[in-house]
Amino acid sequence: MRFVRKKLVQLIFVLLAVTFLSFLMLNLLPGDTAVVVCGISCDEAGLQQTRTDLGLDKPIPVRYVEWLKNTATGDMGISARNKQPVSEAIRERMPVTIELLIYSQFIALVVAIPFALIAAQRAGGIFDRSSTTIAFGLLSVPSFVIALVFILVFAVNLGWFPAVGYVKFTDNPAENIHDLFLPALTLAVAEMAVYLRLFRTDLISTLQEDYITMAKAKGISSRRVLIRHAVRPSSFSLVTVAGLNFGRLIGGTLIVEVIFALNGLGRYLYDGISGRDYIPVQGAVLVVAVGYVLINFAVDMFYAVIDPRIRHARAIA
Amino acid sequence: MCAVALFAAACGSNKSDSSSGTTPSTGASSNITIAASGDPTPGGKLVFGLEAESDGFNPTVNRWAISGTEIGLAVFDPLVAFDANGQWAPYLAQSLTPNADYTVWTITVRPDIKFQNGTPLTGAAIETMFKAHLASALTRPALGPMTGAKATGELTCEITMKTPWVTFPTSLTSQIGMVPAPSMFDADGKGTEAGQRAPVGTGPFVFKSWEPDKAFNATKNAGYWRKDAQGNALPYLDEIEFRPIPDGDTRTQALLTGDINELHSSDFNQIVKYRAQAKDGKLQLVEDNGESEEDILIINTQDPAMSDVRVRKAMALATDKETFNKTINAGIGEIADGVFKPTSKWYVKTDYPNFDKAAAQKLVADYTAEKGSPPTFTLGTTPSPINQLAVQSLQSMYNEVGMKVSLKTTEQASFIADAVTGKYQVNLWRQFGAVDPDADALWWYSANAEGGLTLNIARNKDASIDAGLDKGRTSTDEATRKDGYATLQQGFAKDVPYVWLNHALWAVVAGNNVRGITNGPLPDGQPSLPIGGGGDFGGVVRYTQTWLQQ
Amino acid sequence: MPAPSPEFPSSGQAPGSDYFPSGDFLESPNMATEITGMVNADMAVADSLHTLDPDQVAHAAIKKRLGWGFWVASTWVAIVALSALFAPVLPIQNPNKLTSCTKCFPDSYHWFGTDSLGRDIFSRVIWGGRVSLTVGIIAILFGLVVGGLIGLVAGFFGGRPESVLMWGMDVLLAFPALVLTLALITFTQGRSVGFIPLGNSIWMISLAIGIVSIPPVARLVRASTLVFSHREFVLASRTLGAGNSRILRKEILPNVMLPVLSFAIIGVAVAITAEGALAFLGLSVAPPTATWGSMINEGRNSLETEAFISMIPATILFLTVLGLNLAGDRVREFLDVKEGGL
Repeated sequence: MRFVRKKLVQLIFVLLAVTFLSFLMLNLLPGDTAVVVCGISCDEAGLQQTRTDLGLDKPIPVRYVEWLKNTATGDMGISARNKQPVSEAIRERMPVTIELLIYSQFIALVVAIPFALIAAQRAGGIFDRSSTTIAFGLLSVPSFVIALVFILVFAVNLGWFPAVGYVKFTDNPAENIHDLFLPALTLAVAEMAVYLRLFRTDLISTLQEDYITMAKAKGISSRRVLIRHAVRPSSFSLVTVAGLNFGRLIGGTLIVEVIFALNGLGRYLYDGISGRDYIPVQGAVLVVAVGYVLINFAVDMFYAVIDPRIRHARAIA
Repeated sequence: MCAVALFAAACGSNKSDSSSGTTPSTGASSNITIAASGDPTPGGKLVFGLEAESDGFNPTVNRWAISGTEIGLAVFDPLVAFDANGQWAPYLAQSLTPNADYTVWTITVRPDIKFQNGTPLTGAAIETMFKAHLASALTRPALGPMTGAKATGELTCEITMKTPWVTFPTSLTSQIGMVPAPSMFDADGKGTEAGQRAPVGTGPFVFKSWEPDKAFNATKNAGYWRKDAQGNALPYLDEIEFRPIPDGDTRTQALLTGDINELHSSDFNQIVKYRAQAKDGKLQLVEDNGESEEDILIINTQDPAMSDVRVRKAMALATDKETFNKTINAGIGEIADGVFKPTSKWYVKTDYPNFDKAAAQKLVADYTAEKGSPPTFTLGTTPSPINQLAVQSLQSMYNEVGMKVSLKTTEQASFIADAVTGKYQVNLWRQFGAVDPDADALWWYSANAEGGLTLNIARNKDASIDAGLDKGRTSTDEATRKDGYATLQQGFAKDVPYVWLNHALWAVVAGNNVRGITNGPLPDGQPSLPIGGGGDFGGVVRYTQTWLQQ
Repeated sequence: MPAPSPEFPSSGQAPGSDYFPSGDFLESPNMATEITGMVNADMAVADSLHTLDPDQVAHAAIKKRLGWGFWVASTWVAIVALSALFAPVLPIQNPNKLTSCTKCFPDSYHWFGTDSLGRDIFSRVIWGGRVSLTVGIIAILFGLVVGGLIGLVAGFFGGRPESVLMWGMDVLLAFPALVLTLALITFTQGRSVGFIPLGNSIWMISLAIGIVSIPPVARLVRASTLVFSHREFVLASRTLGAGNSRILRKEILPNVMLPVLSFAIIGVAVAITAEGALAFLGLSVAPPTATWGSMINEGRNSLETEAFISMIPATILFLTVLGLNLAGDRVREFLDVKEGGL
């Protein structure tokens, strides 16, 4: 419990720091914010008025507390570009980003797990060596190149998948899964390589444990040993990493969303940054960062609860 | 290229209708390839791929590029539209009548028309709209001589001008003339934020939802006031969706994979592909050969580095437009030496300095010898791949004759903001698409070159240009007007505030099951200009009579 | 004695952890991240390459050599690096010279063909390598210096400094890397500090990527420092009267440098990819300076008909990143072996 309490305190401090930094992003550029919000047809009086409206004339700590209060009540301000409330925009864009994340993690795991199982069964064998080599290669392809190739091959030449756009999941789940396959696959490529390597390593390490040797000595077939005895203890770090990736990739979908013209959070951030529309950037960064911190926290808790021994063993390695 | 529009100004009459006024039918013209229309089938949903997203949809508040105008035409009706001869004709208005000296125009709207929220269309609604324009920093300049608006009856509104304005109705074919419901304004006549995001008009489609960067959805206006020639209710479509897909390649791919039914484009490199695909019967293509914008270099003539006219002239002389057209425009652009196409009735030949490398070199050498350093400036553009290539191509031409050019990339929003506030030296730019030059006059008047925010973005001041523009605005006599615009063109050739590259080309492309791609007949029955004409851009179409072959 | 970290209990160490206090990971600000080494965005890839090597466990097959893979990889990287370094004196065409031969397919004169402006792709690829490698190296050097210092201090002194520093790293990690770099570059566009321009200058791009590489470096260095500061030779040195700074410099730093080296090699690969992504979004150094990312972007228009315009720089980028990853991976393995022999 001491551990949990300590983590909770840390969580609060990290969250405070994260919110403060998100807040600073906008406020380190006080002139710019007002200029952007006021628009190009702005005169000096309008600029002054905008500053007052946005509260930019108050001292930073006061503004931070006010901003925090507003944000907590769901008011993250309004986009200077199209007057859409930021919280509404984030609600609109969150689903596709989260779906992309789940979808890509799913694809990555579905591919990585069987490959890792086969590879681990005969570590050092041809299958093992070639699959880890290919995984290595996949890790080195930039996602924007993969996306271009996928669009060219699967959307334009073969016409199997759309190049852009998607039907909402709530409107037509099957269609939606089909439409988002290419962007999800693009994201999944690097992930599957990571998972393959990770899971394979853990499997091999588990297979060297004494109880596995025992099981083998008892004459249980090696495939059975692998499936029945090795998979479970080896999958902790896989689950952990997949969980963590979920948090870190919230911001990582940006390029994919831009190329596939998906209106997710990443694209929102990109458009906001490009258009110097600071308030949406601030809101979206905050959401992503807080999401990351919370997911990390959850994974930490999970890890601590599940098996302290694994933690320890991995630490030594 | 950077399509800039502080707002969509109007086009005017276009007599040279040989290309743009042809009847749309297969093979009638090399650049209109569409299937013949049969009997319309009502129903269905059309998805239109736009090249950009808009800020909002209040025509008195927001800045509409062509993509905004396309959405505007679905929700709103313009007061005026062009007929097939390129003459203005009333659309939502029943009539527009000037007084003797064209200083007062009386607009009468059609009776028994309701906005989509049920309130009636009245003269007061027109007054609200024009007053909002007068108060709008964005749209005010397009209504230059206008001073006031007053509803004078149930269906009439009087617009007063400080100087005669003959071509006033042509301004109302675009954003300026699209009539928003009074509910989009607050008690002070200021556009509400809700109204910007959920527009209400009299148009064929009713706003349903807008998710910025994803989709603008509208459904059939069941109580729409227009009927087709057979008396069937318009519009035919049940639903229309606009999807912003800024990347040209992606937009094309979306059409080919059937994700969208229709798109617009002004990207030469895409249009080349469309031509080939239209030939193969994979899609339908309509190119707008009417008056179009020009791709140019716009020069800040008040910037110290650019104020010497010799520098600007040397740029013009060093610009190899043929090569530029070949490498950047896939060779299909029409090269420009002024603001009008040679086929335009306004066009005159000027002594604008066309490509002459030796002359450019000499001019630069003279300048360098005199000033001690060569002409040095920064050429700006936006990040799209084709723009990046374009500025590199130009940079190389200028550096070859001895200038020192560096490049700068800025995102669209800041790019335009920097330009109108004079924070630039030279920009790759696209503008001046109005057929009636008067609608573009605001970009050229010396008075608009003063102050922090200038619509005369080149900040070029020339009294002779002002005199020419005045002539064009106040005279009803076409010869006098032509004379005025001849002065304008000669002024440009002398001052070189713009380096002309080529005329833009807009195309509307549709899948094979779309019918009625071009504009159908006007409310009074006469045929309409098939494409373009609405706004400062080509390639605009209405969807009132568009339908899907089942 | 070094100021012992209050987080290190003097008693109650887990059995078997003779040099690695088991309490440490419980107190670590972000245990799970620490263990798996998954960090932000692409840095995660680098880190996972670093920590999750399959052969790490299969110690049965200890290789004493770097292996041919390493040599092939590093030869490729060396070729790219040397040609980039000597680009100005190499007998290649002017990378920014426009010719009338546009979108020409590869031939004996234009080995890699020409782009849509008629520029020689072979020469642009070589010059593009200059930008990529410069950004990669400066960014990682920056990350190493700053992150390394943070990690050293945190790992060696422990206690409050450690908590605060690693907490800072946690906060930094919460911001998505690409978003952070984009924002840093865009929001400083047109400004400068002294004579150094910000925005999309090569310095700012390197700095932006360097900043997001700080946390993983700091974590790695801290972990290694922890390991070494409790090793016998450090204790011996201390017994002989060496001060903190001497121990840090003479004993810890040289040992920490080894794992950091392999990380740095992979880090350069990640930074190169990041620069490519920025260039692809049109936010790297201004044209006409060639960069691999902008070459890929500029060729997109012709992808269907002249795919080589995009795909040649994409392949070079891929091979270089792969080469660096491979080399880094082998170096890490090699060093692990050495370490085991200590």
